[in-house]
Amino acid sequence: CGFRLRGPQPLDFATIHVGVSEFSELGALLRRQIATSGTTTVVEDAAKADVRLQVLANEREREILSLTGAGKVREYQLTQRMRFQLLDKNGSALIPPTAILARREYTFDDALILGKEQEENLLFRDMQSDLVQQLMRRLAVVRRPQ
Amino acid sequence: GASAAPTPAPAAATPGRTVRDVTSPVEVRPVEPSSPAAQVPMAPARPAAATGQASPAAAAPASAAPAASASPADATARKPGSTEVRALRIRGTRSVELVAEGDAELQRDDILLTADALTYREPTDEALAEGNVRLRQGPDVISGPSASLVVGERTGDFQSPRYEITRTKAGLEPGDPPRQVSGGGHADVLHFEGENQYRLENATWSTCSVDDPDWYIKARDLQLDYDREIGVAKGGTVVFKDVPFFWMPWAEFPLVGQRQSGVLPPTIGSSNKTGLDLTVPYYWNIAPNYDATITPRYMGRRGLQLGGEFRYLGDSYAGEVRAEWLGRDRITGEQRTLGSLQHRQQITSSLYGSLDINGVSDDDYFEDLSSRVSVASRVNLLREGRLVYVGSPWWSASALVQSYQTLNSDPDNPVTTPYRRVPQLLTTASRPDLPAGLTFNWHGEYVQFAHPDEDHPEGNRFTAYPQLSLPMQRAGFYVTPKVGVHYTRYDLDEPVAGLTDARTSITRTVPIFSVDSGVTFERDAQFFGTAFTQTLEPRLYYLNVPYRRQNDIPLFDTSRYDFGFAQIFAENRYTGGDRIGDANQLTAAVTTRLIDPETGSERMRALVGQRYYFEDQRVTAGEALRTSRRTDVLGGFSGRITRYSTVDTLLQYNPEDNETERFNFTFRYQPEFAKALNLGYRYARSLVSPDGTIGLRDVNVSGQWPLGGGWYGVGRLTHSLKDDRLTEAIAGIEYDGGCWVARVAMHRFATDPNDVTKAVFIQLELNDLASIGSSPVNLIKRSVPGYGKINDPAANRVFGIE
Repeated sequence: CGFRLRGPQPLDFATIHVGVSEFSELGALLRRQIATSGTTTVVEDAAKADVRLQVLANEREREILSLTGAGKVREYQLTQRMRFQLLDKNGSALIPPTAILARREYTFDDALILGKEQEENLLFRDMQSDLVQQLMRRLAVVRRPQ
Repeated sequence: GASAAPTPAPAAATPGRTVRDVTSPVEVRPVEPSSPAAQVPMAPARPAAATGQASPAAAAPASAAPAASASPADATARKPGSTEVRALRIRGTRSVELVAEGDAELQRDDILLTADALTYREPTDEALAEGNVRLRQGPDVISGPSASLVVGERTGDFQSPRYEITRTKAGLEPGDPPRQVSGGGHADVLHFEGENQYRLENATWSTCSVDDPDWYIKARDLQLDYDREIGVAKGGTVVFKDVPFFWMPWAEFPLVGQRQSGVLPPTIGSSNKTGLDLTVPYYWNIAPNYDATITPRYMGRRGLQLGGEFRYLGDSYAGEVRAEWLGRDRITGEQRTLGSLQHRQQITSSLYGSLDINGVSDDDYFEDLSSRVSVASRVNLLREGRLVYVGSPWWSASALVQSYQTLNSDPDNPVTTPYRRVPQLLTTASRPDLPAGLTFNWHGEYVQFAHPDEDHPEGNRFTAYPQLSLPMQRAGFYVTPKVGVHYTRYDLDEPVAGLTDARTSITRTVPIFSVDSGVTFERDAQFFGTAFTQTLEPRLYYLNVPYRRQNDIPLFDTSRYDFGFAQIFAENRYTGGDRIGDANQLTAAVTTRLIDPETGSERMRALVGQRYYFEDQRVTAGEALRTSRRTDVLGGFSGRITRYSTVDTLLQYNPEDNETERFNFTFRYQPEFAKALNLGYRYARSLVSPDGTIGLRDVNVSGQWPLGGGWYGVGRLTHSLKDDRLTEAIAGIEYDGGCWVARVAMHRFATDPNDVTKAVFIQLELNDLASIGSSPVNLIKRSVPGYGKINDPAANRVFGIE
């Protein structure tokens, strides 16, 4: 049916600066993913990078999805929204500010709040890696004007 | 531009807890987060044609050439700081006094002063203007019958001016294009007090049109400080539609729409719990990095409550303290109080600490005193202190002391309070770059669990879980084998009741082995006449965990995960550490995505997954043992199905019994900004709710739609088909008046099986100034997906997500 194994995904830049601390979960994840491209290295000096990835926002939210008849929370929805842009050496945008979003939902019970807190963390980690995957796909199609 | 009030520390700097609830039932301040206001230099708009030149340095009794006559003097060629006077007639002596009459103009840099007649005295750098005076500086225009101005110092007076001052403000979010914010009005006198400083007597100010504003601030004394971007009104009144709305003896207000500082107008609402709900906050800007708000709140049915909030911000710390006090509740006859403290501190570059302490006087506090569902539904109030040490990108350690205040407003369904962690010590490490491509992970934890109830066993738990994995990743596939040894030791103060051979000292060592693998296939595909890259991504996850006896371990922090796509690939079917589920199982899932080959953006995804068990279940956390060899099938789809509509759906299907266990369906139609319709259905056959009821069948409709003439309707209905009961209803209407917005919303939600809270929110938002009334915006945003706030600047009107 036309499917073939996904080939290498070379990035069209040799060096990139990632504007997120390597001490953060997102920063570490991005660096790891970019390293697997095989074409691109992360440099810590923004002035020396071919392109600069800026994460403008990375927000997490929790909202009530449904209530019990007693007005207590039965389900929560988690939303993670990441907004980023990719700039070239001159500061012009290769990818203009773009938002990507992930949502997960889970059932809640106040009596199990310690366990649910960890489930929430699991879902946020899952969303974070989902968003990083989506971001990587967008980086892979970027072509720098010659 | 300096914001006058502390802004909260960025969320990213807060490790650990990422979601913060609103503790205060009263919102006294505009809710939108402030974005740092940036002042962009004004672009001088100079008239292209210039006539006879009269620089103080040049020959003065200049030509009396008519304004229209051409001159070689080009505006761009003018020397910076030089002054030009042009008119039909110019007389006088250079370096003493020039009198210009007839279409007189004086220009220096980006300042252009025009009048019927102008006198310029070079020694004092003073310009006197009479008749049709107009002062332009960049986009700013001040006009009136007469003015005197020391040009270089920007001091002087303007009689009876009409003024309009425009500044460029950074977009609401980083990366957004900047936007223009104009404020203006009329005054008896405008005093120039240096660059960017104005003081006005008997003045008006508004962000509406200058000459016919729907609303304005009227003040005896008005200071406009465009360095701090703050206005100060003394003896001020906010007038809306010619009706004085509220009086403020002294108030600061934002000139370019900073959200964190400024006027705190009264809020008015109503609910069946509080009766009329009126707050009159007083905002006190103590210092650039400290502020306080004192909020008297009158509740018609309950009495007068006093609330206070103090916020502070330093280089390495930020925080807020909040208290509420209701001396005597007229209904309960009791004193009711709330206290709350949040503090965040960067102690060293790698050590971070936080405190989050909340408490209320009684179990019904939020239910009685808040008309907001996000607050009224609160059960557990956090009390914790946390220290986080990030040793390097690959390891970190933290210490936590945590307990909760559990509010039991429904005595028929008491909620057990969670265990206290006093303390929890945690170390984690992840070292991905070891020889031979190995990755080392470490999870070490010590927790002392305590509980206020006698019948809950207490104890401590020590966990050490070293893991080694070998990720092999290529563009098209990955395989990650992983082994780990999970060691746990418990010391309990008493054995679990009801078991014959329960231990108090328990050691559990479990080897855990797993292989995670996935392949990505791709093809070019055409769907709906559009070219896509379609992926096909099968994933297989094998997990082997031998059985260990653990039925005599109390459930301190452990519950079973939901059955979802993230959870079925978890190593343990239980959260926490009190159960390590025995497993010999294979989880399989396939994802397919449609990706736009131009942008790499994902348009749709569909997933299906299931788990196969090779052995029977032996470990439980109180649930019934599984009997089947297969789990339910999980299927999901989400994406944009037409240009304007999206679908998000999840199905959990039990093939053995031919039953749908869970089905969620959401459809959204959103053709443009502020036009959205949502239809949702949620079904869960055997979901046990916290109140003990089983099953869920809800249908909801919500939307926002323009009704014409600036009117918009918003609404939401959630109906429980199972209980045949309306669990939540919102009806609202909004009106966009150009430079203001009015909203009225009614909210009704169940707080008890036999009780509802009904609340009315009335809001008048004066664009870029303040919001009067209690804002329903957050409620509507939560309840109506796709809602567009109608007075957001156009640049921010991005609807949907790419």
